[in-house]
Amino acid sequence: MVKITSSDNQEFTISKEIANQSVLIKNMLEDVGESDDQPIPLPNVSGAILQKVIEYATMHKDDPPPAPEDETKLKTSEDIEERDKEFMQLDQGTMFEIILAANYLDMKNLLDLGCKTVANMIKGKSVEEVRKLFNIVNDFTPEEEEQIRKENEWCEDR
Amino acid sequence: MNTVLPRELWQQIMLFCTVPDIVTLRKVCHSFHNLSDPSTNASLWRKKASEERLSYAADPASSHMASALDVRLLPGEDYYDVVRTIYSWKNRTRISQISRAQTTTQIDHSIHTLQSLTNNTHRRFLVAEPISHKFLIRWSSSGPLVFQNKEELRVFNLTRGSEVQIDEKLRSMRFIYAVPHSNWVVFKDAFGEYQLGAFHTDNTVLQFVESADFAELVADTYASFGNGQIIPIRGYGDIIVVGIKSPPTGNLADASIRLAAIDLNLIRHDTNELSVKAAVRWTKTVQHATSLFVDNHDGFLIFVFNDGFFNFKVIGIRCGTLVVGHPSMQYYDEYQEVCRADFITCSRFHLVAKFGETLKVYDHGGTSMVAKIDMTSSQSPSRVVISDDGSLILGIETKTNIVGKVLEYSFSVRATDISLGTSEYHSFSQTSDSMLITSGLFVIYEELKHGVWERHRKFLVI
Repeated sequence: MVKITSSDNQEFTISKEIANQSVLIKNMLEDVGESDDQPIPLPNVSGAILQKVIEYATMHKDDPPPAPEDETKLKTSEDIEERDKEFMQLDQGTMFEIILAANYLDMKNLLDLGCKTVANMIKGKSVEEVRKLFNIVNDFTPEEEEQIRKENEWCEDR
Repeated sequence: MNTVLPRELWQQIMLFCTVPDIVTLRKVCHSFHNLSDPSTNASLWRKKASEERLSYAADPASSHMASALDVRLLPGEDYYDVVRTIYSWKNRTRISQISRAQTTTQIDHSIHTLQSLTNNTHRRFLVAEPISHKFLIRWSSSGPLVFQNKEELRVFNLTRGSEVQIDEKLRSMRFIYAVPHSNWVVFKDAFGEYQLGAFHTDNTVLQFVESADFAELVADTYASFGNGQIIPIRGYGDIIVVGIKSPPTGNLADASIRLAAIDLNLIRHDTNELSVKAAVRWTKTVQHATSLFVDNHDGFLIFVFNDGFFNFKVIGIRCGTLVVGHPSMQYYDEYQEVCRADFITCSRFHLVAKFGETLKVYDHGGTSMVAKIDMTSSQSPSRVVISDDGSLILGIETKTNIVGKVLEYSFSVRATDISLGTSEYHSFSQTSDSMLITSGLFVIYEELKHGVWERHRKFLVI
């Protein structure tokens, strides 16, 4: 078993196979050796988020290791498993924190899942809807907007 | 920008977005707009091409991009036709309309269908005539049949009726033209040089051919008219015709087109390597010609020149079986002119010209009209193709209707048997601005049943 502690000092004990889903933890374990007494500190992840990450890792503990990235393959946000869709039914703040945690812990599958979920939230929305979704203020001048419209005309459907 | 996520994570998210969504994101705010680093346009281009199953040979980020695009921009160049949407990353312009007919399923289906047809040794193709040339396939009843898209290059040997292996050297090259009734496939390498592939003796491998000789002759022909526009390569058997239009001067009377027929002689070396001995057998410069239509029928290469005022001049060459050093190629010059037609097309035996709502079919041998087909304006075809044996005229009509807020395109294909005067129609519609018709083709083939060849006609919507 492996002990990990969150930024708010919550301690979690997880199996090695779950811990190894994080490349960061796996490398740390290899570097420092296994010790039941010494928890691994994860100062960038809160207890609540770490709980969710462990939930995800437990759900996927029997999955085969991820295939090497195929650079030529088109990335799509449509291939999300149903159980993962349910897992990501979270408020936006939590979702972003999970993405940050996945990035920090180097968990490719979880990071991809987070990115795909956000990509799906953006899908088909208008510029104004995206601004509203992420609470973004339009900082373009009308001239800049026109310029950007022209700039992107080449790859828009006409 | 939502400051919770750093820039690199938004860039990761963008990788999963569709092209329209990426464009939307760019318009949201400065921070999102600035996510696009200098390579993003190139990757966007690549992504869009992948999404739409478009074909591209060069890496958009590489220096070859510009030349690859330039080649495709040339009117009538094979790949301009094949790849229906070209995005110039450099100039940020779109060259042609998007066609969404080439979805993965449709492409796979077409390959599967064609594969099943070609694999059946009890069938022989008489004609497989693309309705337009806007597809990846070059058809003939024998010789190579080539598919190339972004992901793969596949070559069938129609003479043998099976798929062949491909020399690794050819895999990275861009397919230009498969010469009907031949061993030859023309490619262009990353440096813009023409290269040749030919079937090996046992017909199971398309092998790279050492072809500096050929590349030089092509380059010489193109150089002869300075910065003119290159005409798509056409050929038959061991003859390949290359051509070039004179650079535009603004005066149509100055326009001319130069053609050169190159005879290819395949040399098989003891080392198993192949090379080619190439020689120019015929050249022709046609004055007052602004555009050229090249047709290819059963040993005939027919060149129809338009002087810019719809006066057509037809010349052709017949490519017979070549004896080494004694080509039996014949040519005939300016044997027929058709004036003021809407368009003209031809087969081995016929010329078909459209005058308003009338199609007139002429005998190649003289100026006698062998058939006249009158149509109503609604039937009037926008395009016509004829089968090799001259028995069939295929007309294509398109209509648009607005259904709700959607523009629906209807396509009708009319097949007329000249000798019997019978017609048949195939109609379909597409709720899209894509030109589905560009990916439909008729295949005429014969099937051996109980020792008798039975003719079939099949319309493939790809």
